[in-house]
Amino acid sequence: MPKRSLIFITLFIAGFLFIAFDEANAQSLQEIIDRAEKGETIQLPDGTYEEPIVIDKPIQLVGSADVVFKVKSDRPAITIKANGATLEQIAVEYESGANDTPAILIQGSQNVIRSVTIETASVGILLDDAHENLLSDISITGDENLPIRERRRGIDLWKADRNTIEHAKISHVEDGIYEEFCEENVFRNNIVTHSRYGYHLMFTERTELYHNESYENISGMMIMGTKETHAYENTLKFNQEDVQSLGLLLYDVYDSRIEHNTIAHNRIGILVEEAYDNEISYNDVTNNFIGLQFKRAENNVITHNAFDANVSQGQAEDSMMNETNANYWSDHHGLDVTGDGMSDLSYHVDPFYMHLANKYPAFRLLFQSPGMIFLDSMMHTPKEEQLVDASPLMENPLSSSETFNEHNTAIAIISTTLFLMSIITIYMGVRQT
Amino acid sequence: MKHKKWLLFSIFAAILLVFTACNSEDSATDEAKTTDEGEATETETAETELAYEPEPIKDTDVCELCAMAVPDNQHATQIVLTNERSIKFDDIGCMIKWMKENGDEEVGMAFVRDYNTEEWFDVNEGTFVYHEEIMTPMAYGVISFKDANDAEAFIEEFGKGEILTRSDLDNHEWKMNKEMMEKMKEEHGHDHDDHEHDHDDHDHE
Amino acid sequence: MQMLTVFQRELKLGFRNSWTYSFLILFSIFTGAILLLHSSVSSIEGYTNMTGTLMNMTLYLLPLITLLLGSFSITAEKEDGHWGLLATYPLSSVSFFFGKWLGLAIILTTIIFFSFGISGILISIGGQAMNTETFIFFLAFSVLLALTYLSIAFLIGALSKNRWQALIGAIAVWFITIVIWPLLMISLLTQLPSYKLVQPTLQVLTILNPAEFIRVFSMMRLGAGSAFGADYDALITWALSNNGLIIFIIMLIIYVFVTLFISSWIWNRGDKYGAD
Repeated sequence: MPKRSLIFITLFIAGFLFIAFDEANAQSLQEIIDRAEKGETIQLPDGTYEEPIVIDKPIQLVGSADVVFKVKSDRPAITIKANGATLEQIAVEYESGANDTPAILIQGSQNVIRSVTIETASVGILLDDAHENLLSDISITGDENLPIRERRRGIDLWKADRNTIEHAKISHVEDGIYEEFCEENVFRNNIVTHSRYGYHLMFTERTELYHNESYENISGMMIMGTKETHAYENTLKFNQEDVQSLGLLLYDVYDSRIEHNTIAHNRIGILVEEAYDNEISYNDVTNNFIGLQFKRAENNVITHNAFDANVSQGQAEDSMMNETNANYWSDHHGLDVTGDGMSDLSYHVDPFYMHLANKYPAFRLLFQSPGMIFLDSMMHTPKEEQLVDASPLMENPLSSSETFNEHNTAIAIISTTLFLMSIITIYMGVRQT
Repeated sequence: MKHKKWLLFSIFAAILLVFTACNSEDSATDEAKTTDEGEATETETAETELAYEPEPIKDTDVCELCAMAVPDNQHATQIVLTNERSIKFDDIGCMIKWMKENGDEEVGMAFVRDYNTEEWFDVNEGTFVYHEEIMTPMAYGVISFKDANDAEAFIEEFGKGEILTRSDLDNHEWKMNKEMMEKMKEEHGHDHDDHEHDHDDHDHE
Repeated sequence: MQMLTVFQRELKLGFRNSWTYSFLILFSIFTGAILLLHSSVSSIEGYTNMTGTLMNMTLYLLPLITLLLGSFSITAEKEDGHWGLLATYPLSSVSFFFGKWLGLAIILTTIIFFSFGISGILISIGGQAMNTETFIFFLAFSVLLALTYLSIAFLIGALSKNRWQALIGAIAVWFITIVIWPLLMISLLTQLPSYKLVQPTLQVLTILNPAEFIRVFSMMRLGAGSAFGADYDALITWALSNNGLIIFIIMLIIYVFVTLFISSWIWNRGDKYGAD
C-alpha cells in the first residue's frame, strides 16, 4: 500500500511540476529569447504558446511536432528582425487583428524557416525588405470558407531579394506566393492549390521558378511587369473553373524564358499579352479549353512547344512580329516533302474567334458551336495580322502520354443492358399485332 | 396557304414574346438590383444627364488591358463604348493606355472614381494626382479626384505628389514604376515603418 | 386511351419500317466510330478536345436524322391517307400527335440505346478504356437532342403538305439551328443598337435553339462553362446548381409540349381548310 501511494504522490508532484513549468514557459518564451546568447539553440518544450514573440538576434528556435503557437493578436505570431536566425518545427494557428498582420513577419536577412505549418485567414508569411532567407518545407492553409476576395496571400515578398522558397504547400489563400518589387528570388518545388493565383509576380527581375505546381486555382502563374524571369519545369493544371482562369499569364514581360512547363486542363493554357523578347519553348500545352492566346505581343520566340488536344489550339490578335517556328500542333495536317521533320505547310493560329470574343464577349457563348468551324473557313483575316507557324513539327517533340487506362466493367454492364433493352423493344414492337 | 403563313408567323412571334417576357422579368429584376447598387453613385450623373452610365464592378470583371481581376475600389475605371458596352480596368493607367492604343472613336464616355468617395464620374471632369509612391493596382501611381480641392488636400496629407489635369494624362509617361524599386530601396532601405505604411496602402485584390 | 392506341400503332409501324433500320445501322456505325475514337485517345473526365469534337459530330448528324424521320412520319399520314381514315374515329389531333411522338421517341431511343450498347460492348471486348461518366454523358446528350428535335420534326410535318416540303423544311431547320447558327447570330445581333441587348438576346435565342441549349448546358455541366466568359457567370452557376439539371429537363419537356400542341393545332387548322 505505501508503495502505491508513494508512486501516486510522485506522479502527482511530477504532473504539477510539469504543468507549472509549462505555464512558466508559455508566459516567458519572450524572456527566454531575450536572455539567449547569439547562436544559442532554444529547444521549445511541447505545448501551446499564446503570446506573439519577436526574434531579434541570431538564435535557433526549434520546436517539435507538438509545439503550437496559437496566437490571436494585432502583432504577428512570430516576428523575425534578426539576421541569421533559425525557426524550425513549429505549427502556428494565427488570428490577426483588424489590419491583416501576417502570421510570421520576416524583416531580417539570411534566416532559415523550416518545417513550419501555418493556419491563418491572414497573410501566412510576409518577407518585408528581407533578403537571402530560406523558407523550406512550409505548409500554409487559409480559410476554405472565406470567399476569394477576403482571403490573404500565402507568402508575400515585398522588396525582398535573393530569397529561396522551396517545398511549400499552400492552399485556400489568395495568391500562393506573391512577390512585388523583388529581385533574384528562387521558388522551387512548391505546390499551390485552391487559391486565387498560384504564383504571382509583379515588377520583379530575374525570378527563377522551377518544379512548382499549381492546381485548381483561379490561375496558375501570373507573371506581370517582370524582366528576365526564368520559369521551367513547372506544372500548371486544372486552373479552369473561373471565367478568368488561366494556366500561365505573361503580361508586360521582357527577356524571360518559359520552357519545359506542363500546362494542361486550364481554361486558357498560356496567355501572352504585351510581352516582348521572350522565349517560350518546349512547353507541353495540352487539354486546355484554349491552348495559346496572343495579344499585342512582339519579338517573342515560340518554338518546340507541343499544342496537343486543346479544344481550341490557339488564338491571336495583333501579334505579327513573333518568331513562331517548329511547334507541334496536333490539329495540323502537315506535309513533309523535304523530310526534315517539319511540315512544309504553315500553321495559322485562328485570328477570328478572339477578335470576335474581345469585341463582343457575349458571343463567347458560341465557343465550339458546331457552326463556328463553318464560319471560320469563311472569314479571311489579313495574313500580316496572324500568328503563323511557318514550319510546324510533324511529331510531338514532347512525348506526352496522359493515359489512365482504367479498364472498367461498368461500361460493359451498361452497354449490355442498353443492347438487350433495345433488342427487346424492337422484338416487342415487331411482334405486336 | 396565306392563312398558314400568317399563322406560322404569329405562332413564332408568340413564342418569342413569351420567352422574352420570361427573360425580361429576370433582367428587369437584375436591372433593378444594379440600379439599387449604383443609385448612390449615379445621382450625380443623372443631374448632368449623361448619355452613358457606368456599370457596377462585378467579381468576374477582368481588366481589358492587363487581364487581372478588377477590385471594386477607388482605382477601378471603365469606358462605356458607343454601343453601350462597358469595359473595365483595374488602374487608370491601363485605361489611358487602352485609349491611346485604340483611339477614342468607340469611346462613349470614360469613367473614373473619386479617390475618397468611390463615386463614378467623367474622366474629363477629374483632377489627378501622381506620385510614384502612391500605390495603385498596376503601380502607375495616379489617382483621381472629382474635386480639385480634395486632390490638393491629398497632396498635403501625403506630403508629395503633383496635380495632373485630364490633358496631362495623355502626355503623362505611363510607366509602371519598376525603376522606383531601386530608388526606394536606396532611400528607405532600412526604414521599416515607412514600408509598412506603404504596404498597407497598397491594395491589390 | 386513344393516345395509347396511336402510340402502339406507331411502334408497330416504326419497327416494321426499313427506314428505322437504315438509321439504326448508320447511327450505330457513327456512334461506334466516335466512341472508339474517344476511348483510343484518353479517358479523362470533363470537357476535352475530343469531347468537343464528338459533341459537334453528334450535333451534325443526330438532329438531321431525327428531323427527317419525324417529319416524314407525319407527312406520310397525310399522303398515304391514314389520317383521313383515322379522322373518322373519335380521335383528337392532340392525342394523335402525342401518341405519335411517344412512339417515335421510343423508336429513336431504341436506336440510340442499340448504337451505344453495341459500341460499348465492342469497346469492352476490344479492351479499350472509357470513362463511364463520358459514356453516360454522350448517351444522355444524344437522347435529349433526339427527343427535342423530334417535336420540331412534327411541327415541320404539320406545316408541310408532302414529303418534299418536309424534306426542305427539315434541312432548313437543321441548317439554321446547327450549321449557320453562329453566322446568323453574329450578323443579326451585331446590328442591335446597344451592346447591352446582345447578351440577353443571344441567351434567349440560345434557349430557343435546342441544339445550342443542350450543347451549352452540357459544356457547363462538364465544367467548361468558364470558356463562355464572365457574361454567363450567372448561367453557369445556375447550370451547376442542384436544381440546374431538373430545371433544364423541365424546360426541355415544356419545349416539347408546346411544340407538339402547336403542331396539332396547325394540323387541325390544315384539316379544316383541307382544300388548300
